[in-house]
Amino acid sequence: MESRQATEHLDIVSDILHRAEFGNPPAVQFIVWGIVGVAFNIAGQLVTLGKAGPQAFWVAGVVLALALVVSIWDMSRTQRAAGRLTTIGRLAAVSFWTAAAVMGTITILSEMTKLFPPFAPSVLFAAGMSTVLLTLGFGLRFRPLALGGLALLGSIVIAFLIPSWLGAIIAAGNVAGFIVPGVLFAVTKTDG
Amino acid sequence: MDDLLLSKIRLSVIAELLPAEWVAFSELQRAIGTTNGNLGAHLAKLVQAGYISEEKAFVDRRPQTRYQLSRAGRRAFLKHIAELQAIVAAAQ
Repeated sequence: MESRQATEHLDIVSDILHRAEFGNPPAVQFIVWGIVGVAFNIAGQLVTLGKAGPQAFWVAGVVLALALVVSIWDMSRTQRAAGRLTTIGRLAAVSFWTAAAVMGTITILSEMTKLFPPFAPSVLFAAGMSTVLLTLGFGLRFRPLALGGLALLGSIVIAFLIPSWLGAIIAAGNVAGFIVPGVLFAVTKTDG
Repeated sequence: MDDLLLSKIRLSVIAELLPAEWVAFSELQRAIGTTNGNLGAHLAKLVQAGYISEEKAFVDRRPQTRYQLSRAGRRAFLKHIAELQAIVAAAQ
């Protein structure tokens, strides 16, 4: 085989891999789980400010349950429409579901035992989700995911410096780390 | 060089399957832009070589044929790509 032909074949492969892997990131998954993060953190902020009781977390729990349903529905719908299941799509969905299950368990335990401070579930959820984003982002070398993870992690660090606004800051981190990239993914969706 | 992967269509099929858990026949056809018969023939060769596996499923009560890259296919593809890169590097 000649060099020109080898280059042509390598270009074909490169184009396909880039389009197939990163052409259609799971936009709805990002938006849905970002909303869950915002719900838990706004709940935490309201509890911290004394504007709501710990019951606010149950409202966030309902949002989490709805998110799980929407997430599963979206994954199934996306597969049917696209005729493919990408590795990034499967990993993102499974990682979010796992983090959500851990989060749900901690929230229920927190409510039952009162062992954790009121803002613990929201911080733990943000920490879990930033881990998911960073792992996927760096593992798959997909910059939007890694940047989202860094934004969320950054918000957690900043929140510890201004603890009275912890919930609001991490909620902003969820918007920057999940919802903004999710909306951008949805807007820039390709057909590939 | 892997003779099976010297075909642009078969190489494209493997590249499409590499970052996916599975890809449906219709999607492969759309992505690669070839005819039913042509793609079917190339897929059959890849299945026969053990590079990909075929699975029949029903989606919305309609039959769907899905393809998945095998370990042997992944190994062969990576080796082939390394050989292509070596050819390009040697020419530079």
